[in-house]
Amino acid sequence: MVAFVGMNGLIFTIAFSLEHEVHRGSILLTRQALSQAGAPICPITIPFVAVPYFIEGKMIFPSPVTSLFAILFMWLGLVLILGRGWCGWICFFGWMDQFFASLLKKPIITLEHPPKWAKLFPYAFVLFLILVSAVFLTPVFCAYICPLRIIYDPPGVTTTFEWITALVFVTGGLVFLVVGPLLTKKRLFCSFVCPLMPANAIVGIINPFKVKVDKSLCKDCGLCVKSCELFAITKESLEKGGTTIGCAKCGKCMDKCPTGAIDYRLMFTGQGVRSWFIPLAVIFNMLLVSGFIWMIIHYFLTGEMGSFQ
Amino acid sequence: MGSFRMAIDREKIKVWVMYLYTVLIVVAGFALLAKS
Repeated sequence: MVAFVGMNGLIFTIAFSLEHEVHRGSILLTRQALSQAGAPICPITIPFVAVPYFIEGKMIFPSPVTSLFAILFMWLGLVLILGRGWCGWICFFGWMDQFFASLLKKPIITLEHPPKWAKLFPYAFVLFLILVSAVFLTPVFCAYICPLRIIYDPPGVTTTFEWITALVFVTGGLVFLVVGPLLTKKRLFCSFVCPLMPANAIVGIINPFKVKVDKSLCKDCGLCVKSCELFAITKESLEKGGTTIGCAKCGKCMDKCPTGAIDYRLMFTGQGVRSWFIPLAVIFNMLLVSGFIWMIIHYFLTGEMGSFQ
Repeated sequence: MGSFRMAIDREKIKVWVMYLYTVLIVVAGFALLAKS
């Protein structure tokens, strides 16, 4: 799974940066690009861009409305099929967290049981973002908070205010995407910051593929709790024989479990569905990767670059 | 005359219903993807 997400993210980053270089002449998001609605839509924006659009009819992200619908349908289709497996197998932004969380063999800072308020924070945060974005008609997260902007659409800085926002992006990026995951071996951005995480977790409830624990085989060794990068297995969830709704179905706990007690199961039944879930996840991952690779090859063959819009 | 009793395995029906649900979800997902 690490390899799939890593490859997806890396090739996406190359294609994304190349597209910006070709179309804008720079990877920076300039005022000119903003005024021409020239920013590529991002799936993370869906909760706080779609809600103001459907309520007030205003597109608050500097992209065409057609882009919003395209990314909305793509996201919803994949989350219906894979649930929060989107975060584990598809998300092309998750690679940084994933990469740095995988570097060390053991965590330097142990962070296995975050407080309940920290686990509920992303849900409150996304509600806050939806409200603020709907009231001020600005994608506040993208404009002032998103740590991913250390790589994707970094701002062109000229004024003091722009320098301050850039500092917020860099600090957030270092804490949640680089140093934090490196020291804790946890995907901190995906667990506590990403506004799409609550939407994935909630829509994912109806997804039929679940990660379940066979309690007759479980020896309570706690390796699954330690290995889960998204805090999705807890002692309480183990007692109930499963994971929390935050599970990204990445399969790390299955690899670590010495008794093979954890597996993909069909919702409400004990039926094994590993042979259904993994091929679906791999196929969609590879479809995305091949799309990004095709964009790059097409550019070098013809000189024409596709668009992320 | 012996009475006729149908043997209904509820677990099997549950599994089949869930398989049907899975197929429906996957088809709906594909339809949305195709629309995107």
